[in-house]
Amino acid sequence: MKYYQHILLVCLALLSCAFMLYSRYFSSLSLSSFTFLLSSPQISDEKVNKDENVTLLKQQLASKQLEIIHLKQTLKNIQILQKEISLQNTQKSINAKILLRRDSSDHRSSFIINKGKKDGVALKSYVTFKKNLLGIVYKLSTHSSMVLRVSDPYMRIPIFLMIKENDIFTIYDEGICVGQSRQKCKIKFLQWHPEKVLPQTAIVLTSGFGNYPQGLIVGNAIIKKSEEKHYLLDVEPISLSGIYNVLVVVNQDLHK
Amino acid sequence: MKLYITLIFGILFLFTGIVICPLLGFHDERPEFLIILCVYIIVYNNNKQSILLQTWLVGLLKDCMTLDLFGLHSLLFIFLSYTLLKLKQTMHLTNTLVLLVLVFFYTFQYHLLHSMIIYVTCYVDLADTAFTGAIYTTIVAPIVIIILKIFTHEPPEGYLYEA
Repeated sequence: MKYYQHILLVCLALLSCAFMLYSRYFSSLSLSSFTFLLSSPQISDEKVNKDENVTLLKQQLASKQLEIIHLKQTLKNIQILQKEISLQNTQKSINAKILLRRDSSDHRSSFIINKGKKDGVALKSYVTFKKNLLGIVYKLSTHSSMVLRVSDPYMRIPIFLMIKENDIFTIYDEGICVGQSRQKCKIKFLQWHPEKVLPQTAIVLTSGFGNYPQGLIVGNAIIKKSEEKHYLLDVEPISLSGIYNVLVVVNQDLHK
Repeated sequence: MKLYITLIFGILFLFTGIVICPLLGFHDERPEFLIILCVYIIVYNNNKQSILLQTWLVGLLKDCMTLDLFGLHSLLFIFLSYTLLKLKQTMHLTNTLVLLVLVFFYTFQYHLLHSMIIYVTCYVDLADTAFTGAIYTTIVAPIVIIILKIFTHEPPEGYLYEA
């Protein structure tokens, strides 16, 4: 290859880098905002000595009391679930149609809707179908927008794992739902509770932290294998195949 | 191969990958038609500046329809086309079997590099999809190359060989 061909090669590579830097630093939603979620969970091992029996019993009593509080919260959540999602005055909902259901890259999950900046859609608005969370608006143009799906590897959603015990839904614990591409997610940072047994399936709901409202369904969790002090939880979000219309909820307070 | 033909085929293959492949049942791992187009451009084009520009533009087409950083795929495409150009100086690449092997390794490398970037940025391992993606692309490659040959009037064998 001659020197000017090398120059062309370097120029094109630099141009690509410039595009990347531009989209990285001038995009309103930076990926670095998710990095705090990458820290590893702290799992504390409890060593029980005979002399500490009294302390342990006290701790158990405290945990039972905490369970009562959790059950009260569960009751509240069920009441919330039974009602329709009542949108507050600060939220604006826009009905949108799905234009393209796929991303051009195999490793990413996204879809394109037919509403954009001109229709009032803003970045970080969440997209729902009935009570299911589909994703958040990640890229905006005038008449369309790209939605980052729940199963995208860059997606991190704070969730509650709801399990069914004696026909009653209870919160097992909080965790973070991490997208794994290929229309699947995993739950990470879920605490180990020796006194509770996880059933084979559970429901994953948004916990209310971050930009997501509480109580939206992320998907069904399937517990494949349960080893000692470790859970493997796969989440299957709702498939886009039968969905044509979605609801974009813009939080106006967030974008003022 | 002229630039406008590359762009027409690029757009056509891009939408085939996004719209038609899921309809045919390729939901998660799909054949990468744009990579086949890139390999075809590199092998059947003699002008190096044109090769670099065309592969970069094909990468940009992919960038337009993805949530990845804009410019990432064009950078990957141009990096891989540079390695193929170096290989072209020493090997006769127009042989069909060699072409399929090239398509396989090009796709495999592309998937690996992309999954490495995703692993570094968001700690999700997707490298296991590289092999399946490369296999699918290699299976589809002969048909796509035949279509490209029909529309672009391939020069006689050996014409592009560089000693």
